[in-house]
Amino acid sequence: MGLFKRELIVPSPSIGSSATLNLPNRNLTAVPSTSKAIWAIGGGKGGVGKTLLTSNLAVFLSWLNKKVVVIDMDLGGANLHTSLGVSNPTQTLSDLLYKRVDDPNLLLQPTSFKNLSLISGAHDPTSIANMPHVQKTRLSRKFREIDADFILLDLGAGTTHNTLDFFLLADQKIIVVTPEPTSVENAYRFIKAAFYRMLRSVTPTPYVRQLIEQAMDEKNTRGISSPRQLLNEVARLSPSDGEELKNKMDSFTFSLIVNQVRAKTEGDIGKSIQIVCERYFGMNVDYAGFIPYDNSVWQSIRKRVPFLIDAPNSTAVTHLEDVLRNILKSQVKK
Amino acid sequence: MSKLNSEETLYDILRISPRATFSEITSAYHTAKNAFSKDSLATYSLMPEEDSAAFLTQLETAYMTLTNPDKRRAYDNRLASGGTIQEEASMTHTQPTLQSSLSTAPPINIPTQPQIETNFSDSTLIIGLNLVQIRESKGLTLSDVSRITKIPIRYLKALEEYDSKALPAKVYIQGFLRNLVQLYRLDPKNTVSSYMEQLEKLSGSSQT
Repeated sequence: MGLFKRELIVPSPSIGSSATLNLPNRNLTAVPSTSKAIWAIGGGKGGVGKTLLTSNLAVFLSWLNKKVVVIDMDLGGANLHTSLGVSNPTQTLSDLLYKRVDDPNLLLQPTSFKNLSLISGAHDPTSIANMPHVQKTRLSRKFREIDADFILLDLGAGTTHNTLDFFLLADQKIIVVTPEPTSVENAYRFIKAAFYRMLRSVTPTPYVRQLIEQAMDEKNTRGISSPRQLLNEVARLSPSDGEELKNKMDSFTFSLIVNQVRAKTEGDIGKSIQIVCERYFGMNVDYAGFIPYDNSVWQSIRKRVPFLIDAPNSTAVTHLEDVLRNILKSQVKK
Repeated sequence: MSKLNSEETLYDILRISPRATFSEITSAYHTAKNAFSKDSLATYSLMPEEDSAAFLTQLETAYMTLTNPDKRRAYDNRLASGGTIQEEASMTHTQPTLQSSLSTAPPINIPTQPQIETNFSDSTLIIGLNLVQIRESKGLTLSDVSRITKIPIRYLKALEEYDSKALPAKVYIQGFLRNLVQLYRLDPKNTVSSYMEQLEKLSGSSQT
C-alpha cells in the first residue's frame, strides 16, 4: 500500500459519498447499448491537465461504487500510472496490441483505490502511434470486453488519427481546455479534425465526401467556412443527404472542461466556447464547468497523489464535483 | 429539423425559444456578445474577424427587434404568416397547440404596449424618466433588473421613486443609470443627464 492507507481513501463527508453527489444511479447503469460507458478525455494541447483530470475523475467515480478502469491512450507518452501512484506497470497496452494477451481484463493493474484499476499505456513509441485501422477496431472491441462501469481513456495531445478515432468511439467525449489562446486554438483544431473525421467516416455519397474535403481545405473555393455552412450547402444540393448529415452532426456532442482558471472571468470562456462552437459547428456542447488553478493541485502532482486525496478541501475538488455531476447529467440525457 | 433550408430566425440567432422573456433575451444577448466580441478568446483561430463582426450585427438586430414589444410582435406576425420557419407554418394547421402556445407568448399579452412606447420617447426629456413604466413595459421585475445589472434592489427602487435620500453619491447614481440605459436601450446621451436634473429638482423641492 505504501503511500496510501485505506483510511486516506475514505472520502471526507463533504465530497465523494454518493449521497452528496445525488447520483441518478438508476440511469447510470442504463447507458445505451452496453452496460458500460467509455469516456474519452482529449483536447489537442499538451499540459492542459487531461491526465490529471482523468485520474481524479476516475477516483471520484470509484468512490461512487462504480467499477472504473482508466486506460492510458497517450501512445508514446504514457504517464497516467504516475498520477495514480502506480510506479512500475508490469503489463501495458502493448501486450494487447501485439496480441501477447487476448483478454483485456488480464491487463488491469490494481491501484490503491478499491474500484479503480489501470491499463497502462504502451511505452514503445513509434510503432504503436500509427496503428492500422484493423488494430484500432480490435482494440475498441476489446475495451468493451473490460469488466467495468466506466472506462476512461486518457488521450494524448495532438490530432493524430489514432487520438481522433479513440475520441470518436467514446460514448462521452470530453475536451479539456485552459483559458489561453494556444490551448483554445489547439482545442478547436482538435474538434474540427474530429468532427470532419466523423463526418467523412459516415457519409456514403462520394459527392458529399468531396464537399467535406473541400470544406476542410481552408482555402476552399465554395466559400464554406464552417461545418454549419457545409450542412446548408449539402442540404441545398441534396435534401436527403442534408438530413442525414444533420443527424450525424446532432449526434456529435462533447462536454467541455475549462482547467487552470486563475481569474473568475476566465471561467466564462467555457460558456463562450460553447456558444461559438454551436454557432460554428452547429453542434451541441455541454459546458461541464471549470476547475480553478490551485497550488495544492500542483503539489499533489509532485507527490503523485490525486488532488482529490491530497487536497480534499481545495476549491479544485468542489469544482471537480460539479464538473462530474454535469457530465453524468449529460450522459443521462443522451 | 425543418430549419435546414430556411433562414435563421432572430430567435435562432440568440439561441432562445420564441417564447423567451425579456430577461432571457437580454442575458442571451450579453452572453453571445461577450463570446463573439473582438478580443474574445473563444473565437480565436476559429472564426475570421469578419464573420464574428457580421454575426455581432445580426445579434444587435435580433436584440433590438425582440426587446421592442411592437417590433417583436410585428416580427412574430411576419414569421407566422410568411412561414419563414416551416415549424411555425405547420403549427397554424394544428389549432389546439397554436392556441396554447400563443396564449403564453409574451408579445401577444401586452395590449397596452403602443401607449407606453410613445410615452417614454418624450418622457425621457420632458417630465423625467418613468423608470417603473419602462421596466414594466419590458416585462421585467425589480429582481430581474437587479440580477442583470447587479444593482441592489433597494437602490433600483429608490431610483424609480426619485428618492434621493435613499440613494448613494452622485457618481454611483450615474453609474447605475448607465447600466439601466444599456439594459433598457435608452438614449445614452440624454437619459442620464435628464434623470439627474429631475432628481435634483425633486430633492430640492422636497427640502424647501
